[in-house]
Amino acid sequence: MNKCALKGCLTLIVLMIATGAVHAQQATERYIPIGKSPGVSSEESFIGTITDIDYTNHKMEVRGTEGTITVSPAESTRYYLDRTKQKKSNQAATLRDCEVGLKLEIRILADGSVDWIKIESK
Amino acid sequence: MHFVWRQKHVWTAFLTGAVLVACQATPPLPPEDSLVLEGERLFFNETFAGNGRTCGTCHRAEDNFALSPNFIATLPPTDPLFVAEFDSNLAINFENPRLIRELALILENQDGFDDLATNFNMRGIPHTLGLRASIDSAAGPQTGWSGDGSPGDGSLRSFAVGAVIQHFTKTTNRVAGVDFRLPTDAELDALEAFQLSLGRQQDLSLPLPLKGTVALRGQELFIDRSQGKCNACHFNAGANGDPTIFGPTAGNLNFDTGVEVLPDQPADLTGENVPPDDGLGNPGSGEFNTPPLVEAADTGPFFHNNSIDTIEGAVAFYNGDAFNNSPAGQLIIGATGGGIDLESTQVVAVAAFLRVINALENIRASDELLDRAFGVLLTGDRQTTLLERAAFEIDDSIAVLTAANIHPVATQHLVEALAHVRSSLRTSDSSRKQLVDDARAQLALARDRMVES
Repeated sequence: MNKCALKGCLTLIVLMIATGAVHAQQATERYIPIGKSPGVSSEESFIGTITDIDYTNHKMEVRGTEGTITVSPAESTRYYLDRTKQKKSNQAATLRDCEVGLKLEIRILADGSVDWIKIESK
Repeated sequence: MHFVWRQKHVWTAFLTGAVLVACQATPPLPPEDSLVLEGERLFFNETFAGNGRTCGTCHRAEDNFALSPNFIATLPPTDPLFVAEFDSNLAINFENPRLIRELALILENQDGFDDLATNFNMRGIPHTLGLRASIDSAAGPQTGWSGDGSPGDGSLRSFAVGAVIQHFTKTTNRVAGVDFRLPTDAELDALEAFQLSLGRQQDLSLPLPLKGTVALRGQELFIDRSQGKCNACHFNAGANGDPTIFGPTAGNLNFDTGVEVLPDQPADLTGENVPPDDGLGNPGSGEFNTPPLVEAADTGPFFHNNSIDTIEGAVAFYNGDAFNNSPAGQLIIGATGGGIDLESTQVVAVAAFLRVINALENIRASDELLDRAFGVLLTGDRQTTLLERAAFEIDDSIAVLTAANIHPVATQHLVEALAHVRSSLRTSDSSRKQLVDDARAQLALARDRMVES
């Protein structure tokens, strides 16, 4: 058999796999309230209040206890409306659900991209 | 601004070639450690204020921490597994009772919860044995059938959070604090410790000095890169890729092996609504996670959708068009000049090998459980629990060997061992220890029949 070919071909596959993000489940994340995402909240996320938002250019400024950051959500960013305090089911959301004064949690990946944003319902 | 970027540090470590094996970095705790025992208590008893299910509802200790149709048939109608049959809040879009009972398939909303009527997958329940050696990869931990079973950071520790939301909820509204409570950090730590304590703590090192002629040939075929080719993705019959092919840190991998395109799948034949399962991600890549094979023979049905019942059938799958035309099959063909094409005698031989290593693991596990049962400070109840689990393991070893007429003499020793353990469970006096010692002696004899010391 052609061992070198096998190795080369499979190495390509490995590289394709390795450049992806950690395989976290997206579906159930929606139902996890702000600040409760296991292994993410307080370690890989930023919790704060929206102080400014630019819907056109997809930018928002968020102030938290650790300072103020500006983030640029991408097309792939997922939004969740956290309605846990109202004892209602959490919903999928959009950037338009983000408003100045609302509390949110942002998960920012190592490459700087925004994985998801959880917005506390009014 | 002070901000902790734990993931960034981890990612950097990976890019620089450091070994990223979170679980392996944590040494195993003693199996009777208090954190492990607390995890065990939670695993089997904690409902998280939900619909009555626990982790152990689907990952049954009596059924190799998985669930099969034969075992399901022994459960009473009030078992929380069947909650969709008796709780009107969960009657619609939560489970398919027929597919649970007939095929041990559980409903998963892997791609989201916005369209519960049509957007779901029906998946089998993978066992939780040998996780310490089976879930780490260069891309991070891989849990569940498509490798993305955990929310949050995707770790085994986080898995319970997703499971509670998906399977424990009182209603399909899934409101935390109303329909369930989320596990605390301490509970997640304990559940992780318990799950990591189950089964093998390390992979085998093939080839083993097996004594059985057919199983020995099966091992050769399994390892051979021009014939079985199994060892490439199930290195040492585990869940990791061969490091000489995939690199030293590859670990556990996902592949699209074409299981989804198999014709006449049992779930489809029922006529129930079973949407295609696109595997990892949303939209899915078609890839599913590589499971370990040491524990395979007694944990069927096989593959993510329980589409094949026997270990022989599972091996034969790799001969068929579904696999050889799949991305994984094409990869093998491109690299080796041909697909997998085993004759029926060779299929049986590979399966015999898998049966034998499964039985050897059953023997190892049962012997360890019997040893632990007489550790210091164990109460009578705890001792009974460990003896019962040892009996499950020995019973399985007998079943996997007798089903293919392998090692009949070893099987007789296992039958003797099981009889001794069952006798020990009927007594609580000093003869219990002697019965367990006798059982362990029979286990040793059985093992000696199957593999060189």
